[in-house]
Formats: sequence, C-alpha cells, structure tokens
Amino acid sequence: MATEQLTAKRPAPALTGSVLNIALRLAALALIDAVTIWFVGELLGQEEYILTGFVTVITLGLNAIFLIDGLYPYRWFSPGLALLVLVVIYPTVFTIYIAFTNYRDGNLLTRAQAEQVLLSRTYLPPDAPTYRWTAFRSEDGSRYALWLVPEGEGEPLFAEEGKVTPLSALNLGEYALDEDNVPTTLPGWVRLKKAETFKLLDSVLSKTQFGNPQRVIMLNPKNPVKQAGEFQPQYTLQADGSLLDNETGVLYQPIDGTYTPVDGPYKDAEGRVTDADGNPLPVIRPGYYVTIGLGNFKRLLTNEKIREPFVRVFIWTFAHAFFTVFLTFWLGLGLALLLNVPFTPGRAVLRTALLVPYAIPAFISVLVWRGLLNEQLGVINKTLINVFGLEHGPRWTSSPTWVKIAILLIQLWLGFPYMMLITTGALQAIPSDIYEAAKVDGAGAFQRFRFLTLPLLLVSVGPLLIASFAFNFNNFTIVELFNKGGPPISPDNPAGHSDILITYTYELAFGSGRGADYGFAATISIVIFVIVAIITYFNFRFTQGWEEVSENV
Amino acid sequence: MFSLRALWQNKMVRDRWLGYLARLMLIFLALFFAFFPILWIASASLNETGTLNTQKLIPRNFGLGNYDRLLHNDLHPFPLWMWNSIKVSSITAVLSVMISALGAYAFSRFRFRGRRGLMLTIFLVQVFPNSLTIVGTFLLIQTIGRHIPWLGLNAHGGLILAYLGGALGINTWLMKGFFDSVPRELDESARIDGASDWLIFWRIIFPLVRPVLAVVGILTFIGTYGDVIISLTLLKDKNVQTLAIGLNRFISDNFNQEWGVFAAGALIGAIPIVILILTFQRFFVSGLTEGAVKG
Repeated sequence: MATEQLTAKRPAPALTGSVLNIALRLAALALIDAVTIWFVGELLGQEEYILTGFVTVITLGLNAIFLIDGLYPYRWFSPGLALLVLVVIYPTVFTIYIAFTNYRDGNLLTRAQAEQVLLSRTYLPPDAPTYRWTAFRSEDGSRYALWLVPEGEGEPLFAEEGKVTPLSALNLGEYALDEDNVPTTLPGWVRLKKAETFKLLDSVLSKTQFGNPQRVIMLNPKNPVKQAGEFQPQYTLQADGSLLDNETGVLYQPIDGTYTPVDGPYKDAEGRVTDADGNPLPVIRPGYYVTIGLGNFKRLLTNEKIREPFVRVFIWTFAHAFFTVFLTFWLGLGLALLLNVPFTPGRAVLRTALLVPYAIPAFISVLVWRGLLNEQLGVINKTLINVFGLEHGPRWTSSPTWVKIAILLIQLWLGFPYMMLITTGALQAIPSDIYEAAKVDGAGAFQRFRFLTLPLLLVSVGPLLIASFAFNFNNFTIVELFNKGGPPISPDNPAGHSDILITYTYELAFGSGRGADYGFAATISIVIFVIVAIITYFNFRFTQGWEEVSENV
Repeated sequence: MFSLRALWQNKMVRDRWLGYLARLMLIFLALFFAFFPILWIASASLNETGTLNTQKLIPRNFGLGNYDRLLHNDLHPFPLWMWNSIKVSSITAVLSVMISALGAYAFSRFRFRGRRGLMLTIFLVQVFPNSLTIVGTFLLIQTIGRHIPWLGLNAHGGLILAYLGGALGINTWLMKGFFDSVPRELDESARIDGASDWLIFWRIIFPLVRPVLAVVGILTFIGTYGDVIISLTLLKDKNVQTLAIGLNRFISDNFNQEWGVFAAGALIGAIPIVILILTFQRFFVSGLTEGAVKG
C-alpha cells in the first residue's frame, strides 16, 4: 500500500526553508505568545485559573508544533486543534467542574472577589462625624471633591477620591473662606454652583467614595443634600473567614460560600438570628462558589420538588425522541412504498415536492406552526370549532397532554420527508428477485413486507434511526421555540410539561425570572452526556461502526 | 370490443385501477399535510390587512404591503437579522472548511505518531452535540469578552468562535475520504519538481476537491443558519441577533397583529435554504448531513 512509501518520506524539517519563511513563522509565533501573555495576565487578575491553564497549554502546544521538526504534521491541525481545545474541551471540563460546585446567581465570585466586594461596603455609624458639604470639580472636569465643614467640633477638610486634607495642611493663604467656611476658589478646582450640584447629586456625588480607606467620606443616604459623614467599614474579616457586621454586631459565617448569620445580639425562639424587631436576618450577597461534591446530584435525586418534575422531563425526553422517530419513520416509509410502485405518474416531482417541509429551516417551521396552533386565533382550532361546533379547540400550548401532541405533530411534519428519502434509497437497494422467490413460495403481500422488506430495510436504515433518535433527544429548537417547554409543571420549578432535558438545562442556566443556577444546569448536562454516550455506544455495537471507523484510520 | 364495463369486470385491471386511485388519494393527503402550512403562510404574507385571527386562505386585500413593512421596521430589523445570519453562517462555513481541509490533507498524506489517536479523538468529540456544554461555552465567551469584546457575548466574533470549536470534526473525516481518492502519483510528480507540501495542497489537491469542499461548506452554512441554542445564548441585543432569534422575538412580541409581516419574513428567510437543500438533496441521503447539519 501507498502507506509504506509515505511512512518512509521524511517531512520537511521545520527550521529549514527560506529565510523569509522562518522569519514569518517566528514573527507569527511571537505575536501569539505576546497576546497570550497579556491575556493570561488579565485572566490571573480575575482568578480564572482553569482557563489560564488551558490558554497556556494551547500556546505552549502551538510553540512546540511550530518549533520542533518531529511535530511537523501537526502544523496542519494547529488552527483546528487550538479551537477544539479552547471551545470544546475547555467548556466540557468546566461544565463538569461546575456541576460539582454551587456556581449560581449569588455565588458567582471567587472567595477573594467576594471578600473584596463585601469589605469595601461601608455604613454611617450614629456617632460618626458629620459635615456640611460643598462640591468641587477638577479643572479638567474628570474628578470631583467635597469641601467639608464639621457640624460639630473640628477644622474643615478637603476630601478628594483617595485623599483627605485638613484646612491647616492646605496652603490657602490668600484664598479666603466665605461666611460658610467654604473657599471661593481652590487651585486646580472649580466650586460647583447649587444647580450643577443638584444635577450631579444622584448620578455622581452619591455614588462616589471620597477620602481614603481610613476616613471614608460619603453623602449620608438619609440626607444627601445637606449632610456628608465619615463612614466605617460595614464588615470586619475574622480570623476564621467569617464577617462581623460592625453596625449590628451580627456574625456572618460562609456556609457553602454564602455568608449566613450565625450569631448576633437578637435571636428568636428557634435560635435564628434576627434584627431588633424579631425578623429573621437574610444572608448577605454576593457569596462565592465552592465545590459541594455531589450536592447537585443529591438535590436532583432527593429533593422532592426537583426530583418529581425532573423525572417527568426525563421520561418525556425519551418519549419525545422515540415517538418522533417512530411516527416519522412509518409515515416516511408508507409514502416511500406508495411512490415506489413503478409507473406512478409524476413520481420524481412528487418526491421532490414532499421534501419541501424538510428543506425549510426548522426554526421557521416551528414558528409558523406556533401560529397555526394558536389556541384562540390559529386556523386549526378555528376550523375545528367551526366544523365540529366545539366550545374551544384543543389547548395546544396550555394543556400538558395537548402540548406534547402538538410537538409530535410538528416533528412529524418536519421529519417524515427525511425518512421518506432514506427509506426510498433503502427500498431500491433491495434486490427484486427475492420477492419473486417469496411469491413462488406463496407469501402474500403483507408477509413479503413483514418478513422481507422490513428486516432488510431496518438493517440499512437502523443506524440512521438511532442517529435520528439521538438528534431528537437534544432537539432544542423545536421544544424551545414552540412553547419554551411550557406549560409549567409547578410554580416553584422551571421545568415545564413539554420540556426535554436540554431545554430544562437552558431554562435553569439562562431562563428569565429565576436566578441562574449554572451548577445545577451543568449537572443536568452531565446526565444528558451520559445518555448520549450510551446511545452512541449501542449504535456502534449495533452497526459494528467502530470497526469501520478504525479501519478508515 | 372495447368497453369500460368489460374492463371493470376484469378483476386484475379493476384492482390495479382501484389501487392506483387509493394511492392517489393517500398521496394527495400527504401533499395537503406537507403544503397546507406553506400555502397558509404564503397567503398570509400577501394579505395586507389580515391578522392571525382574520386570515383566510384566499387573501382579501392582495398586495405586497407586508413585505414593505417587513423591510422598513426599526423595532424588528429583519434585513439586519437576515444579513447577520448570512454573514455569520458564511464566515463560519468558509473558515470551518479551511480548517477541516488542512487537517484532512495531513490525515490523508502524512503518517505520523499520534495520527490514529487524533483521528479517534476527533471522531469521539463530535459525537456529543455542542449544546451539551452550552453552560461552559457561555461562561467561556463571557470571560473572553471581558478582555476582548469582539470575541465576547453579543458579538458575532464570539458566536463564530463558538461555532468553530467543532470545525475539526466529522467533516475532516469526510474530506479525508475525498483526499484519499486523489491519486498520490500527482503529489509525487509535483514533489519531484520541487513542490513543497503547502504547494501540493494548495495548487494540486485543493482545486481537485473544490466541488466537494463547496458542498461541505454549503451544508455547514445551512447548519449554522439553523442554529438556535448557541445564538440564543450568546446574542442578547436585537441588532446583533441572527434570523432565528430575531424571528422568535418578533413573533413573541406581537403575534396576532404582525402575523402577515411575520409570514413574509418566514418565507424570505426560508427560500434560500429550501433552494439549497432541494438542489443538493442527494447529499442528504448519505451520511454527509449527520455532522454538517448538527446543531
């Protein structure tokens, strides 16, 4: 075979060739490396360790491939492999990883990020120094500052962002203070008029932290027009990682990454921490994500409110895929048989015409059917009501049963042409002389179909049926666009009566209304992953496809 | 001699005619099932005053007003959606074919360590649809976008990046088959003339397999055009959305009143794909479609 000759051929060494060639290659590599170094720096700043690892490995790999002679053939794969690792392998690994974490709204940060956010929060203690304030703007218009006159004892201050200067340290000299103890001008700064100040009050001044970390000065949210105050950090980090609320004295302990009140001055009869009025205190957000082991899987199997809808979704996912293949196969086969009779006029035209539903993009067909099946206004229900005198037509989108029938109807419409196409091909491949032999033996038409056509057909079409099953198992487009998986099973769960696993996953992660629960969505993804792996395995067993694949290598 | 009655009394002839009529009936039913929604939509698009509620099969106010409103609608920028879809799908198809062809050439012409492992890996990876890792993909594109906005969420660069992850997939396998069928004597003679691997690929093999690559590209185009889950996840702003997401938004916003305009959009959006598929239908029977059209 040609293989042997090719093995003998030595690939062109990497670092030979024209000087221009080498220069271009090295320049391209240098560019990629520079971008990677910058990007890795950015990622590390956000503690994206797993992605950092992947990006580093990809870049090192590219360097190796283009610098080591022995890896020459891999150059041809480099763009594809880099994309495969970044956009397929990394999301897979990360999806599996977050399935074992509580990565969801409220717990989206790393611990350091969450601590940073919470420790920068401040409050105004009742006994804190308060000031009358006047706003200044820097001459270039980019920064703001406050001139503060104490309401109690003390000297006036000038507070910029990150810096506090008392009057005595300012060399004001000839700049006199007016009757309110406010300087009319300051070098580099422009005193704002009342009207300007009001304009900026909500958008800028109320949101800015003036002063330095030791003396955080902000407008008093209860009286922002008149008063500024010296704020204190809301929380103090304890040695064990919990946060003490300096205002209320409540201790918040991170439990699975969520800061939960565990101790405080007020408690109710059940031992819960409450505020002074006896209302239980909520947890504080944001929390951080932690690995919770099999927590998501346990929730799926043991929490009644989650398990019951999940089991329904699980069963419907299989039923939906099975009935879709079943119905489309039989209708497609029936039409293929009808059109397979010789001397049918217009056979070719009819075959092409019946392909049209398959040729229309599925997302368009589903939306069209959504109109036709509209419960009040759609043509189908209006016709049914007129013809049969019904009070109302089938509730295609709000009844748990009818929505499933509607989806199968749409699937049938979308899918029968494909089945007709493949069964037509398979029928034509069956030699006709075996039918002659069967006729001679006295087999009737039904027997010939049942014992000759069908088994022979299934041998050739079987793998395609399984592939179709696997495809419809994850047919997001149909289910999501028809009714978003609805109607809902219960008000406190995102699962709906027509949801399949993949739309349920989507709803958990990206559905509106409820917070995103990426960790739990990833858990459902893993369930689908395992099922698809099993289906594929059996498909290969069934068809000996693996041997075929291996031979083709 | 000839009489219908005599023919009718001939059992064989009668059975054949009855059978033919019965088949005709069934075929007619199938045609009705297949074409009813299409005719209904076509009629709705031409009915200037109809809502979903009042539509009749024969348009009462025939005209192209719906098409006009479709093309001039700031709230639902249909031409922009269509353009976005065509742009994203074309770029994805071209890049994906190039990436795949490079790999296929190497698989076909080189023997190297790890070749078998790489082929099996690519085969195994593409078994799992990319919708399974949608959570991971979303978070990846979100993270990238924080630093490189044009590869992030709400950007076509990010969407194309997500699509290209599977470029080195089943298509590479298919193309390798075609590359194998190009006689190696061609390469050898070119090599004797001093051509490099790249020159052999680009000047000799590529032109020979171009028709096949075009078909693979068209199939990739169709598959990308029809994607819902990834574009729905990554694109939130209506001005960057693709047709699939835009039409869905359209119909959810104002279903009844805009039914005629929606119908016009559905037809315009479907026609290019219908023509492509009916033209290339023979490729859909073979395994070609399985990888190419996968969502």
